[in-house]
Amino acid sequence: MRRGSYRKSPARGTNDTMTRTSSEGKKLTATVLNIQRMSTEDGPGIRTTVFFKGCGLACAWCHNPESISGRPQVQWIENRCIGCATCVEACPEGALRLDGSGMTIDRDICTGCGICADVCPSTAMELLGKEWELEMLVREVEKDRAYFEQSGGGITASGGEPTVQAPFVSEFLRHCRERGLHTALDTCGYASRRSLEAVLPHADLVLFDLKIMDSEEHRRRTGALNERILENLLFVRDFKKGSGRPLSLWIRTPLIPGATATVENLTAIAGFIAENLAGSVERWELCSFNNLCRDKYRRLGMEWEFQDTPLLSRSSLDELVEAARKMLPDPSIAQWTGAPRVEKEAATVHTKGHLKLVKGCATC
Amino acid sequence: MTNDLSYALLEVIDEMTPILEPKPNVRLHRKSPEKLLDTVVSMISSSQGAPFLLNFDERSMAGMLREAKRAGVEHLIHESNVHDYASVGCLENTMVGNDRSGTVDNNLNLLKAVELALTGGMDMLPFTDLLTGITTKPARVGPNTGGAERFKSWDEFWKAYEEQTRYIVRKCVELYEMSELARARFSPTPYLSCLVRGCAEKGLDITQGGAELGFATIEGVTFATTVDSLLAVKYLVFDKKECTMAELIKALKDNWVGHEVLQAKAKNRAPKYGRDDDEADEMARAVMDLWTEETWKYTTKSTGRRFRPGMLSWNYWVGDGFIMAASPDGRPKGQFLSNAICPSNGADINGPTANANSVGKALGGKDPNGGDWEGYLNSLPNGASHTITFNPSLLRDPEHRNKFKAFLRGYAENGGTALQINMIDADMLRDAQRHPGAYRHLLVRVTGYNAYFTAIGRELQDEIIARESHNQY
Repeated sequence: MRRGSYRKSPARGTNDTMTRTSSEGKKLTATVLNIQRMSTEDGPGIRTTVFFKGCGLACAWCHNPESISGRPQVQWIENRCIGCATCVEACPEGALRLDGSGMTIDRDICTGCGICADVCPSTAMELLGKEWELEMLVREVEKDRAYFEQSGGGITASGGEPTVQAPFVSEFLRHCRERGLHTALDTCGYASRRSLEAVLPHADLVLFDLKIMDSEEHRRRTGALNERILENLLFVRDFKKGSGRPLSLWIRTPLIPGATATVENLTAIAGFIAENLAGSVERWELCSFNNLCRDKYRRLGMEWEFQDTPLLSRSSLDELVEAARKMLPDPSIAQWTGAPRVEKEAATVHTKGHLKLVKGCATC
Repeated sequence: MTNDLSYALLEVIDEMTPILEPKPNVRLHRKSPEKLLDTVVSMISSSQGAPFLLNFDERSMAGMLREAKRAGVEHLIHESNVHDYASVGCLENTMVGNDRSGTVDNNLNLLKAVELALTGGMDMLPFTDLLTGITTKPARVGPNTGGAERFKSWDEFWKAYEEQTRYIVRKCVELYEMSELARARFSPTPYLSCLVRGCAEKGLDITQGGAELGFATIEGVTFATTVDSLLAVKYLVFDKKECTMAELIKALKDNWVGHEVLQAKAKNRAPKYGRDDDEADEMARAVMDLWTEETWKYTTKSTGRRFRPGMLSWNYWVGDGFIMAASPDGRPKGQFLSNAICPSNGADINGPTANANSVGKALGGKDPNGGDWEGYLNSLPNGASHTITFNPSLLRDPEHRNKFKAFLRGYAENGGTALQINMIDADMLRDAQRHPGAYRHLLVRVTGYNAYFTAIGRELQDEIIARESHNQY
């Protein structure tokens, strides 16, 4: 990955400040967290998903807590560390301490300059959020064109919240589309109208999150009321109708135990879809809670409310989807995805276990 | 050509699975029918891995046409009959009825040339014979290209590497000549010779070079470790000046012990082949060009068989890892080398498409102005074994199986000649817990969320293993 100089910008949610022009020219850059190739979960086909850093919401369950802040952040991956303490010596702020219990990053002092990551021999210190120039990013995502073409896939702009970096993201998607690549915008909906207006014309698909219908509860869990999100969703619907070109809309709801994953909430979301979006939504994905991000919180020095929350069982997932479907004019649009809790009886599913013997032939 | 017989054979394979030997081979091409792909993908998903090898026609045929040109046998292999090739052994492509090319005649360790370039033609380490217990001092085995400590630029190092590569190819060819000659004189195969066109016509046994087509082969062993080692020398000594050449050589002689920081840089900071990184893949291309062009230059004296290159590594990538000194890519002595044309273990951190693209580029990529066949280039007519490991969640439902099918079609465009599919299973994940360094690429994917397996905590790893054991993705 290419990295330019590091930007020190306000923490989060301030639109447009994420994108800047560099001093040497007029090149657009963005802060990108990760580029995931051969992604099969972010829209149709095989996709390259670009995770843009920075989000206006701060959902209590967020699975990518490193994507919330628009600033570059550093993290320490313990099993890569060889204990050489090169980073400790290199840190200009003296923000790092390495002892028997591991690495401590003083986040009050750390500026996210990334010098520790630059000098770390083993990539145990990692800078989350790197500057990408538009042209470089377009070239990078175009590498999998052959797979996009064969699968009906393309590019997904995700995050964080990609519209936070709207000037860059709209240009990025425009360039992708001009090159014949299918484009998707994965948004939490918490965006300024201006940002949405900039990005939507360059998207072939919108993946729109609807989390909680009760606005107060939404604020309690995500930090913001949901009115703007709902308005934006209707705006997307109207834009789709008026755009005169194919634009797909998928809704996504994370199923978080004790938060979003209640029959009442899903019934309410289904009701909103039935009332306002019938015929406009092709798919509603109910994404099952998982806990794989637990270590991310620990590495960022953050508490996580869902630390010990068990995964949803298959039967409760079925029950939730059933409740959601009841309200929908076209129930087939709703489906759950993800991993349910491991249940003992599931072992019998593994009928062809003996076939594991067939590994890659060692001789050739 | 796909017909009822294709499906009947696949059905038999399915019934007989697990078949360890012989490994069946399914040929795919751009226009393979959907039904064939569906059958193949459904067999892969039900068996948690491919019960067969997949051979990709376009790039394979490009290789066959290249060998025809190089050996001057274009009257025997040409555009109108090249589709009639078949894979022998595992993935060694040959013509049918008149071709008795070797499959794995020679296994040449390409990494040795890097070692010799570093030392100026000497073995880096003393050699202890395990049977006799006798240790011999490092000996001169290659041309004296001068101690690398004196090289001022990367170009000088590369030139030494080139000379050492030319030398090891020649040495390999000369050694092989002895066994070729012995076989030709003392080990005829009259029955086989009756079945292969050319022998009766010429009055020569197959072992004497009677077949119309008969290439001798050199398999390049440990391509990626070689490429990564060159990349590391360039990165550490010349580009970033992290160390001097003398320091690097000292670290290798010490098997990296006491040089852990430099080793970590070699492993983690230096570019690697297999990530679809154009700079690294350009090095892969240069290494490939060099050793394959060198191989084409030779013909056996006793039987007149032209040498052709391939990469399947056999098992030598495992055993040689215990013989070869530590390598500049950060690998200590005793650790496996890279297999066939695959990236080094754990190096392909950008996923399967990037891995496949790198392999395709290493083989020559595409040339819009023609290439060897319909735009495809292929440096390795004798086949290039490529294994990619996938997460079984990719095959969990029809929608995802279609995505996997599209990956195979994309592979036909961008990838290599022969692909084996492995599926992550609980055993592999347990091994990854023990050896995280070899599994840095291992991605765990659950709905819109992904993480590198080795970068998550032990407790969650155990949970994922439990899930995997129960086929619960």
